[in-house]
Amino acid sequence: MPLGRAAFWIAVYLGLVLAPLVVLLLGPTPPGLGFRWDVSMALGFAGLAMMGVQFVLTARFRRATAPFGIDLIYYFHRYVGIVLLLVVMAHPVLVIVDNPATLGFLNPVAGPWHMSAGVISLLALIGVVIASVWRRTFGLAYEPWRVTHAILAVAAVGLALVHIEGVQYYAASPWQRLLWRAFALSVVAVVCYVRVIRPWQLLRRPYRVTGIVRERGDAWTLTLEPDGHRGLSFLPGQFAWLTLGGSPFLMQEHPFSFSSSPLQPRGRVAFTIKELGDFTRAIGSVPRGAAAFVDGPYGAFTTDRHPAPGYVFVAGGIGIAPVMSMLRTLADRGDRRPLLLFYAYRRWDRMTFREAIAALQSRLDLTVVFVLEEPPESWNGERGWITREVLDRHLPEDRLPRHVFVCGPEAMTQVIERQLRGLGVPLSQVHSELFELV
Amino acid sequence: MRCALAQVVAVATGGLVVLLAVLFALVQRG
Repeated sequence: MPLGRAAFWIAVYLGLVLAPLVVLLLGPTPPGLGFRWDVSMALGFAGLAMMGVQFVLTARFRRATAPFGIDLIYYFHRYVGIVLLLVVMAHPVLVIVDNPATLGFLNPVAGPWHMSAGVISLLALIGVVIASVWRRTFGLAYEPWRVTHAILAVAAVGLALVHIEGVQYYAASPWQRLLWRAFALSVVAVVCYVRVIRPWQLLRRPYRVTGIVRERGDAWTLTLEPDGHRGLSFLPGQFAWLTLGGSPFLMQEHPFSFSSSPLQPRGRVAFTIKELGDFTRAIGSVPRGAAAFVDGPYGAFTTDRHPAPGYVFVAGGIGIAPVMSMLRTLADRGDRRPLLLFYAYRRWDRMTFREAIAALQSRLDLTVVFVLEEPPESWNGERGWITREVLDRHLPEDRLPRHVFVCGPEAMTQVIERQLRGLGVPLSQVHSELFELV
Repeated sequence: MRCALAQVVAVATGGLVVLLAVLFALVQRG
């Protein structure tokens, strides 16, 4: 991670979150209602600013997300969403503790309209967090969740602004009104960019499905070619949000890693997608020639950003897709650096890209260690999981200068990272991809 | 590691916001 640029964007984030507090400090102080009251107000304002910046975090601004990898930004968006809910909830709790009579304001029938707006805003925010954290528990499909998430998030911010406007505390003077109007306009501008401008840009750069190939292990490789434009330039290992068949305005996109080399002719790109949900199970029935839209590339999981004398890849399940992109690119470039791949799968007959990996071994200095959870009787290779012993047995003596790329289920990634650290591989040389974004 | 990093930075952000909210109130009330 380029530390200088990362520090700059963290400072920008904190500046945006804390800006309302600083600006309000510079203005006239409203009549004193006590220390707890002011802490409560400050938490409410900062919480609202955090809510606004949440829209910026997922707006996929390349320059701001590149130093971290956009997967990390989405994870931060998720966790800081929980934190901001606690900050916002502290606002009414402190007001009520300070003055229990204010509890009556929460009654939506008897209380003033601006207090009801505040209560509904908080309920919308609670709904956003619950639906996101427990989406799979509730069996909520990805696409309806995204629409619900967007509507509730906009409602939470809009109603919070109505609440501030109505309460008139730190919002009465013309310049304070200006601050909150500028904030509201900024949120509207980001939402317009995400929901209107970017989909419109994607609409102007369509792709066509030119190939669908069934792979081992309930996976499909989908090949796309740009329709009337030159396509996109990506780094091996990156990913994109893919819309198939529908319109980019309909929020039906899903994130997938490229599995192809960026050196393919005619701007061709390929995604390898495992059947895991409603959308992925329908991939096989997509007709050739169908329209597709590709929002990308994103992500920092790429050998191109980490020059090294050799690389180690650790893949589990469909985590092999971005690794294939990197291996194919290295092969297309005629790279002869030593490469080592650990690839864990449940069964040999279902292992995605088994044959493609064997073919790459003739073009690369590539050693492959297959690790099978349920090996056939005749299997002589590694069995079970990728353990510390398996890594230690196969990692080369000169492991220190190599960079390691780990991609698989989150639990596997965490275990591998711990094991690599235990084996003396510096964490700065271990790179992983978080692909369970929701 | 990246997942833990996201969690730590999110919690640290929350801590900083609470700290500055307290500072805000202290400055406002002299």
